[in-house]
Amino acid sequence: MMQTLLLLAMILLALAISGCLYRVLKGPSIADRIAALDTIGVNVAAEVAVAGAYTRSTAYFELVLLIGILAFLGTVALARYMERGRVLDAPDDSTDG
Amino acid sequence: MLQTIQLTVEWLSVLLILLGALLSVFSAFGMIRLPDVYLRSHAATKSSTLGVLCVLTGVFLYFASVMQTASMNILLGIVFFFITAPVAGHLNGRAAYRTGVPLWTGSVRDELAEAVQEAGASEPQPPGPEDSSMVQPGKVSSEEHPIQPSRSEQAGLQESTVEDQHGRSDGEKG
Repeated sequence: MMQTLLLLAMILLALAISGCLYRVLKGPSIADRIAALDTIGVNVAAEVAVAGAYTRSTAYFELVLLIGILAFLGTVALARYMERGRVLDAPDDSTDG
Repeated sequence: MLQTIQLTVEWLSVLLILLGALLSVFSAFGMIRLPDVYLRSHAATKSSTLGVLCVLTGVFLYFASVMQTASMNILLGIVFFFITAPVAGHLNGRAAYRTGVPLWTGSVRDELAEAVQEAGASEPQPPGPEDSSMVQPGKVSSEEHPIQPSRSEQAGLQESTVEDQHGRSDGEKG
């Protein structure tokens, strides 16, 4: 019974990822796609955590952290690139943050 | 007795996981249906963060009750998502505003543009893209006419609130 419910949760998360994928493909502006990609990363991390609970294996948990960190860094890098045209600031023009 | 507690915690964790998955689905629904980057980032940041926090808490409780292991990785993941998801949403929203992504035509107020106008020319506006098809949101709010609908798919959503917008914006200006 609990395995079935966990499977249902995984299916729901997959649905959420598909919905965000629609926004990535459709989104009129780049910011839409970045927000949708961030949501996809977060949802994939949750999906991996539920998969770890479903298979009762602790081997997936490092992956949760790793996907979370990668999604966050990717979002920050993309947003900064969209805003300023570069990702890393040169040391002399770090006035606005 | 111990068996009962364990079973209760197990059910609680599974229900938390289901609740989190449902919240993620609602978040994706908002991502699809909402008309604007800023409104969409509301859905993406708030409900998706809450959903993932629920899922990770449920997984933590599940492993604590089923396998008797407290996973520090999951705890660290909870703290990490709790901190970083709002930051990412804020960065994305600021980047969208500064690059001139248009507001939804049903938006009644642009407080950031008012604040920028009050600050005056002491801080120069960051240069937007030289793209005439994109409308700077800061300039639009001071004009009489709202932004022309750029996406025909939202016509149904917009028509219901355009008159409402005129009435309210006139009231606020007067």
